[in-house]
Amino acid sequence: MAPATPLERILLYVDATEGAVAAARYATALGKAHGAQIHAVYVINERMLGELLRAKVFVEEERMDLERDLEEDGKRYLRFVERLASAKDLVITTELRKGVVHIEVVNRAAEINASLIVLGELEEPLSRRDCFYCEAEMILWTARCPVLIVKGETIADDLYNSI
Amino acid sequence: MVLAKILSTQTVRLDVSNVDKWTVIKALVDLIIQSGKSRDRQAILSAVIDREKRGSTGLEHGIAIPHARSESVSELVAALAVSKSGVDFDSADHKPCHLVFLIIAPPQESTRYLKALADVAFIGSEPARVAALTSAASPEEAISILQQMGGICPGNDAMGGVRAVGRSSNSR
Repeated sequence: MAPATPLERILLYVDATEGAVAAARYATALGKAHGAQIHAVYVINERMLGELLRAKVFVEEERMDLERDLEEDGKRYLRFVERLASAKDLVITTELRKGVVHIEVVNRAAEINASLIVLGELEEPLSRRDCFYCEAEMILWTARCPVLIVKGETIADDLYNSI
Repeated sequence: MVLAKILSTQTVRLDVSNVDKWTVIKALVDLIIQSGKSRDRQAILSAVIDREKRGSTGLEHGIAIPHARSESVSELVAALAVSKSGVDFDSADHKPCHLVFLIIAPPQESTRYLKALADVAFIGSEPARVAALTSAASPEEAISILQQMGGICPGNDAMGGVRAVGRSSNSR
């Protein structure tokens, strides 16, 4: 009897970083190879919005307008990953959330009983003290399942194109 | 750091002095226009002034961040004015501003826009960072200081790949 695949459900974290597209391609290839369900989540960073409002970078009306546009941004990124998966005859379940990014991602992973979280390459944190700038790293530290960080756009592209 | 990737030596101006905030804002918009990132000076200027009139973007610790979203740019753009003598920006702490970052974003780059604004807030949260940038002797040095703050090696590709997501999408 063949062993059960350890990868049943993959959660892909989608954000506006350079690594997000490579991560989406890699997750698609991984999902295809293992017959895994792929879920994608985009989180509107409400903590950052709130901090910038408190710092008076925004006025309230501006914050509301931006939040609405961030929602559109998130939908656009999620539609993009849906198309990436669809091109390989896969279906990705997508979800847009709002809140503290790493908390929402880890919670989503728990909700779907994710076998793996896939992230794009981490950006250099601006400061170890200012962790709201390094949400992807916080996912790494707080996740309750394995986390895979995709490094190398070329590797992800080659893998995606090979399936 | 998104900010370090969208600034260039063409959009950094040093030695700004003896001018009011509105003159600085206009000069920064002119830098954006001269860099070829937009052709509609009036539209950008109107958007920035409209935002500024709703509340000063002068923050604490000598930093100001006039900003707006405009369809007159197709990508996130920024310009920086550095003033050793300081500019009265009607700031939260009533002190002159030494760094004025202008940030303009198209509607479809809201995520990176938020990150760029957060980058400026990050710089302004520590007086030593403001001082380091204020002391830059050239636009090149200012860019280099920003890149070091963001942990970026000079010479890396400056443009974020996910911008292609919005542009190539058929959903708009």
